[in-house]
Amino acid sequence: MTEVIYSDPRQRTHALHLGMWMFLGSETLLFAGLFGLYASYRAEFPSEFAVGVAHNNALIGTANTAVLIISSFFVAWGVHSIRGSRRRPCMISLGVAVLLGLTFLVLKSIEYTEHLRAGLAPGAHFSSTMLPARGFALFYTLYFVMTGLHALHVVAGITILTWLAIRVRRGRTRRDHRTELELGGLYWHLVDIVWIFLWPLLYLTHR
Amino acid sequence: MTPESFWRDGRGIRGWLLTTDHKRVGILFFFGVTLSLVLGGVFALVLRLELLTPERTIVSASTYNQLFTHHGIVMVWMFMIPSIPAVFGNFFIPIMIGAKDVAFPKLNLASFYVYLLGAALTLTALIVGGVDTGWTFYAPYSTSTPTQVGWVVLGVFVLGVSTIMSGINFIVTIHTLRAKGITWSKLPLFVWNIYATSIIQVLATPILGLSLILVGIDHAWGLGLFEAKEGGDPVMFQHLFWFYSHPAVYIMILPGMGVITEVVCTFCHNPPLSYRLLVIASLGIAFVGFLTWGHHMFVAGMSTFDVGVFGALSMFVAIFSAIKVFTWTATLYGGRINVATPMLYFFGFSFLFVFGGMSGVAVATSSLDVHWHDTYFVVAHFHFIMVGGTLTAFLAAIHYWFPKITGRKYSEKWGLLSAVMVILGFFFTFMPQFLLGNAGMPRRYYSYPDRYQWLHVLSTAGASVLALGLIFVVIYLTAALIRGHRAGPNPWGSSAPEWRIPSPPPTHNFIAPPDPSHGPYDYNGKEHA
Amino acid sequence: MQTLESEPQPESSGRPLVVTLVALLALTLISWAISHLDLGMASTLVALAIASTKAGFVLHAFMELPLAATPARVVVIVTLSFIALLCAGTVTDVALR
Repeated sequence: MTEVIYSDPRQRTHALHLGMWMFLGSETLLFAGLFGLYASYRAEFPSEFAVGVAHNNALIGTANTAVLIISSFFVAWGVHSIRGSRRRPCMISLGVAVLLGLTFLVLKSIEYTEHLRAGLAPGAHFSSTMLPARGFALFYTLYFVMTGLHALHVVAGITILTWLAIRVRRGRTRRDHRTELELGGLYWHLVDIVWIFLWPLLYLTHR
Repeated sequence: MTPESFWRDGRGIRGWLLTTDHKRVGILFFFGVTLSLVLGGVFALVLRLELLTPERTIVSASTYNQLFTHHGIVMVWMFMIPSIPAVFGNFFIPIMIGAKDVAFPKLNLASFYVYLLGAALTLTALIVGGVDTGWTFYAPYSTSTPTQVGWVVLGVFVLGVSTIMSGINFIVTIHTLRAKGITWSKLPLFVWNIYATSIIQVLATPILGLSLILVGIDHAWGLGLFEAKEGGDPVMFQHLFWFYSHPAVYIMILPGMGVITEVVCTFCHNPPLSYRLLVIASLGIAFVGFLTWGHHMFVAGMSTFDVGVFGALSMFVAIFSAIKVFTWTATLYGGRINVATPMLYFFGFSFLFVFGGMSGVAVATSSLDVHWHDTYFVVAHFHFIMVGGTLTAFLAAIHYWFPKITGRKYSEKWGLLSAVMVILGFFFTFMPQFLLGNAGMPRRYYSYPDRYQWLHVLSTAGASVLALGLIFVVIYLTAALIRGHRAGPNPWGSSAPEWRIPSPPPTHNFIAPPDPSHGPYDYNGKEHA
Repeated sequence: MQTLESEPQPESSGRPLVVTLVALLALTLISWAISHLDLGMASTLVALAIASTKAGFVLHAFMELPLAATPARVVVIVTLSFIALLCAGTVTDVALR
């Protein structure tokens, strides 16, 4: 069917890339509302939000930021490798990226466990007496929703990268591995970028 | 040897359920949206029956609340938003740009099944107990009502995913698959309108997705993001909801405007007064539409700064709509007008859309909206645009493109009669509602003081005529499918590209490559301005 | 403009990728360090400015945005504008009541 629609394979690659960027735009906008809520509620409860940020584990948060940045590098390296037809380095790069993604999730789980033990849970389940102010509970609810939604995207990204690595390993089809990797890579980079913005808002701005 | 029409491909039912032919996907969507229109219409008729008397007529108050909620949800997300793009956009965009299909045909089929899934989830909510929040799901009621909010927000979320899939497909198709020589300025204006619509779909729908997720989670487990006692602000939900839902109304009207442009030019045998102005107006509506959402919240407790800014910005949208209306009207001048059914729907559209649009400018005036907000005045305003605008355009599209899609002609006599019934029935349904609202009757109310009854009775009578007109449409179109006269490739004498291929089109659309030197509005040797 | 897998490709250097990685990690460290200073209102703005710079590097070097077609670049700008628009509308409501 694609042979019928597209005049040449280049046109199809171009279309796939354009479609992916559109999709990434829509994925980014899924977070837009949360940034809007954060901005407004922070404007309303500036000191409670600052205290909330200060209570977050900046060590884990920063480590996670580095983890995602390095994983993003490895995904880009994987694409670079496949362009030079170096399948093995590509697979290894993707594998490392997946491991780093899993590391992110492990660190996140450790954090979440710490929070929940302290009673810092989302919404109606908030039971911490550390700071009874309403803005403080609101901060933690937003924190869980924002990082939770992001974590779901990390899971999706890991799934995509794993699938891509398997396809490269099998190498059976003469399909355009490059395009698949580029498109999958774009998704992972977006996951990285979203965290690049979440990190300062949730871990650094504690004043 | 002429190729077979797309209706026959020898694969039977699998050829429909697993089709990647954009025309068949359009037909599948046609059945989906038409059934949704009927369902939404049934809800409306029952609630209009209920409103015949000031107290209980046929249903309880809580059922009534569910009726208007279901009516809104089904009409907005299962009918209006997909209607023209998923049916006629799918069918005609590739043909209009000289392509054999959309950029991602499998994604197209998937978008239909995702639509079905979303519809099924939404209907599940209705079956297992219904929802009574209104289609706007305002917190804190939506997060605390005992009704089936979870199922509904999931269903609407999935419907939104379908919309995004379609939007991406159309944008990429129009960018990458235009045939050689078919530049942006040679595209039929219907394509431009679907393009503008698709941009809104892709960018705005995720915000709805998030707001519904938040309501769903809050309803099930408690989040408190919009609860005052947790420090949250219910108005914040309204911001998130309307940031999508206002552009959504442009998703609903822009495709209709695209249809109207095609109908006006074809049935006047005239190019549009100004092609460029119509393109600018379409993109302008899409852009400005994102800047105006706060006008739904004038009395919600927003800052006066926001009230002022949103009020002023809301006026700008009217400018672009007015440009379109003036351009269409001017296109009639010097044309050879054929008053067939689609053209009658255009006349109805002109009056109803202008009237409805002007009532929009009225409610955009915040000082006046203080009186009209949450009354029937607003209900009348948006139904004039949605029904008087979009539904009328949908009906125009059906009649205009019926010969092309089916290869048959329908009965003009029945077409004209039904159009008159639909337009007049509509007018008598909703004109009384402007009066009701202005007289103080709030929307969504089950019971009302006696003095409003006559207007409600008039409105319900109008709704019955409207419903009858629509039933007639279904009947004579079905009859035409079976025994209508055969239509040739171009029964209307149009210059547009879809009329230069056979009726019905073959599976791969073209027998010979499309000729870019022949523009879509080449009438009497006049090129478009 | 992407070339096909079967076409001979110029051997591009991986160096820009490594440089970008180092820059990103350095900016992360700087951002963390600055957060300990008391800049009042400006600290959020500075943090977001650094984040935007990092995002820019990812878009440029890893996602190869400059090589992407114009509509893709328009999507990026419009997406960011919309987030800004939504924040502007909500914050001016809450802050100015």
